[in-house]
Amino acid sequence: MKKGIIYIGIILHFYWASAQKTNFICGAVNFEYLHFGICAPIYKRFKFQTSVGFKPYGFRKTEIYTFNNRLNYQIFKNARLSKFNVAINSILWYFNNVSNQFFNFSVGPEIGYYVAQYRLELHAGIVYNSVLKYTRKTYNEIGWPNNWMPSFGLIFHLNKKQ
Amino acid sequence: MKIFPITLFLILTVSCEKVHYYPDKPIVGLKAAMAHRGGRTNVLRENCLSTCIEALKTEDGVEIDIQISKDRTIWLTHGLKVENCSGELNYFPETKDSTIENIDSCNGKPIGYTKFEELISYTAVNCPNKNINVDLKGWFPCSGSSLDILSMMRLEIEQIIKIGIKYNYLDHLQIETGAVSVLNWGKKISSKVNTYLNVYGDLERGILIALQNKLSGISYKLHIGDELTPDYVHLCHKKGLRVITWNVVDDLELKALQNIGVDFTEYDIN
Repeated sequence: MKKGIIYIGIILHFYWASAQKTNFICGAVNFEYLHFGICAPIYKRFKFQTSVGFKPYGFRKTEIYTFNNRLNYQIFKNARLSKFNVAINSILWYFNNVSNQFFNFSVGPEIGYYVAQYRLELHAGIVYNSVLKYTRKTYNEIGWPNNWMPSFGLIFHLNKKQ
Repeated sequence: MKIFPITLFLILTVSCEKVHYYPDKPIVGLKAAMAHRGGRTNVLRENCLSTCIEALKTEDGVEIDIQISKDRTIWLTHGLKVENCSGELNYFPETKDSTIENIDSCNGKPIGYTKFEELISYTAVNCPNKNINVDLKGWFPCSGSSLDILSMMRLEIEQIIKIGIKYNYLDHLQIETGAVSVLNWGKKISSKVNTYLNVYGDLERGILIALQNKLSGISYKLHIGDELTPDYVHLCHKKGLRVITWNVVDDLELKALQNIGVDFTEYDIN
């Protein structure tokens, strides 16, 4: 919990201290769940998003925390097509329920599209899961994350007022 | 922007399950005692018809090892190479039936090989409720003709299933190997075939692979890696998997494994 608060503090610090093009983001993604972070331009047409997420429903049965990093690349310069981007998404996620604990790493490609004057980003892709650590808690259930899973959702970009 | 909270709600509610849990299909343990290597003893030879017949009189079944010949006949043997009185000849997949059939005795002792079909035809008629565990093994190819081991093992499982169907004995055959693709090939030929994955050490992984591939169960080598606890056996049975264990040399251990519900325990008759 402390680490999460420190991380959010760092994000806020970067958000306020950085150049005005750095956005605060919050989003809902099927894989990263409800997440908050920043999106910063890093080099030419590349943008980097970092965020932390959690599962906000069914919380008592299953805990899921995610740490997400996404590298976006704007494919076209053309004004109309500039809304498209491709991205590499990587997610470190922790899963905990009554039966098991998993600590996983997922990575995969995505395609994104901006709407509402670049304030809303829709994206979809696929991620590959690797289990880094697995702990059995009871002998009632046995399960494993699927190797490949879809990743889709939307991210809201909050621009700083100039 | 009004669409945002609605979409957010939808995405969160239709999110994929991150961990796939396998559904319950409870079964009851069989607790069968299987004579290892066809019921070999200090006196009786392993993997031959006469020894199997003796073992089938007292035990719930036998475990046998097999190899396939160049003529696609299945032979009972634990060794990879054909042996005659002068020593080792060639690997089974590169040896013709006529060569194997000619091997009979050495210095007055029988050393001949038994065909798998002979055993099944005997068992199907004389003790149709006994079980036979068939251990499929690979080998080291020594020429191009048997280089594709997995394909040859698929041929083996095809032949076993054909014989099982021919003698209406498929329900009592348990086929075990470490190659999942071979077991899946067998299931394609007949959905009734009982397939078991050989598991060495990592029980958790073995159970998951068996569930993922919808196999009948696992065949677990004891005394290496994870301990086979009653909890694991219970978990397997809850998820519909049967458990074979090997190899037990102690009657006490045999009883202990049967008490925790292990379905088939392969042991050496003293």
